[in-house]
Amino acid sequence: MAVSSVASAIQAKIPVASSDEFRGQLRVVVPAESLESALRMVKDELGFDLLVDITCVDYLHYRGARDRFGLVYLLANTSNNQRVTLRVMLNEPNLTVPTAVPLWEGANWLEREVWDMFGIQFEGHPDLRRILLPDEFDSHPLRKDYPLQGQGERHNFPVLTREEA
Amino acid sequence: MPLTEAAIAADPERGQDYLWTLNFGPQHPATHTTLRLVLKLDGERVVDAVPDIGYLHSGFEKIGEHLDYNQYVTVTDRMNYISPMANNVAWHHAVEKLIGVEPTPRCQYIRVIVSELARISDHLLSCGAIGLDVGAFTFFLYGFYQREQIYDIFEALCGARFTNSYTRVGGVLHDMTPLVIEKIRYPLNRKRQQIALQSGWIVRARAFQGRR
Amino acid sequence: MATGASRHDLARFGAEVFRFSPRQCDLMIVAGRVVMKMLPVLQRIWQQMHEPKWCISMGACASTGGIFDTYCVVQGIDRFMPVDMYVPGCPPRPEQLIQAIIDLQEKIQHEGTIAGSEFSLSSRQQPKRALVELPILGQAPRFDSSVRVDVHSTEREGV
Repeated sequence: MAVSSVASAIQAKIPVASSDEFRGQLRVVVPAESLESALRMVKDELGFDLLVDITCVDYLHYRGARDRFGLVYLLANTSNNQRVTLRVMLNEPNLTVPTAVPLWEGANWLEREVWDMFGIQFEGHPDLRRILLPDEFDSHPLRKDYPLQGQGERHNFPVLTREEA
Repeated sequence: MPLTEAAIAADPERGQDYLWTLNFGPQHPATHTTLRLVLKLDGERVVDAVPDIGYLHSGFEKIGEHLDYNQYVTVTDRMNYISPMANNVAWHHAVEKLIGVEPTPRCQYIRVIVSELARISDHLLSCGAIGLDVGAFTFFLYGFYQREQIYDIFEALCGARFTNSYTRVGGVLHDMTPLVIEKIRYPLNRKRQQIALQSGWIVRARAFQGRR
Repeated sequence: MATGASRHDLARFGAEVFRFSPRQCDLMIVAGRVVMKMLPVLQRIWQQMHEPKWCISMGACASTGGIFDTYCVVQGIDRFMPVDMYVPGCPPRPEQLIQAIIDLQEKIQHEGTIAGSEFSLSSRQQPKRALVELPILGQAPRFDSSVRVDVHSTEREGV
């Protein structure tokens, strides 16, 4: 299947906000309400059975951005090596999307990472807690308004000296 | 008390409390870098394992927001620091795809050669580490000798044994000199036979054979 | 790892035995970056080691944070643990690590081993100049001699 036919197949079946192609890679932007049905359709009918990654982009300082977060699902079809990117644009305060765990088990950890780093909630997720950072950490570090050096969490530990340890 | 597994599992009153929860902590030699596993054990057999990660999360993505493409290659070295050349090649491959630059054929050949050498050294270390953990120490030492030869090649090529940030956008840092080409080509034939011979020390190791 | 292997052999300096249990060790080598999630574990391991014990901080990332000036990497384990020897480099060459072990052996020879408390005498502490932390782009780090670093305090300069 050529890339354009995948694009047209997706556009025929789900309401798509936009779809474009860059360097041979197809990207489809889906509105947030139809995310779950879009993922299900793409998995069952078009055969994209491998969820490669779920990640997110924060467009806070981007010129000409209309929405703040773009949640990205990278999907691949293992039988004919096609890849497609599904993107959902999200804005505060509606940062909740349905979880993809019923469709792909691997989405469990991927969504935990997105929650940890960006703060996007996945409703229906069995175990949504921090995966990479300690549980006591407050903020969501990969947002653009969080500084690189952190806000003092990294040095908030007791000091061991030679006498007591 | 039932002794076989089938009998234990089939015993309805027993429940699951014979299973023993063990914290295979973040500091453990077998995990090499820091991975924490909470294991449920039935004697020596692992029934369930829940991993807990994040003990080496260093904020690579956040660093990338402040560096440009040629600076970030130094950070990609440290991601899989056992085969760093391969990471450099992968990073710049992605960058060049984004920008739309096509490197020359010579550059593509050089990148493939160095990333394959990095892959060989990665496998030597990983198999050596398996042997180290189990007790088959000989292969670790011989594998490291092979790795040192590959380190010599990298050092002659770009100055660093590993974590060499060798690729740049559209090319590589230095071209390969005839010395480097000779260093790669000369031991290559013997290396294959040597590794085939030495792999016997790990494949036929008593620790693995006894568990078959 | 290359230090223990065949070309640069650490066994010839009497340091062959890598026992991974902290109860049986004299020397702890912290190699590589230490993430804030790992630091309590590291402190617990240090407390589990029996006296006399020493610590080598190997590499730029363990000594100062290295290239990882981020929200999750501890900028030097000596902020939270006593360190005896620092090995620079990213990554350090095996020869540097061997030199560090030899230097530590000499330091032990000259300075006594019985209890760690003799190391923390105030006469032994050199006053540390505080390196002011700055964002990555644009400025070179400078030493601020007006700020004195207190060895035992947790809060550092505007961290």
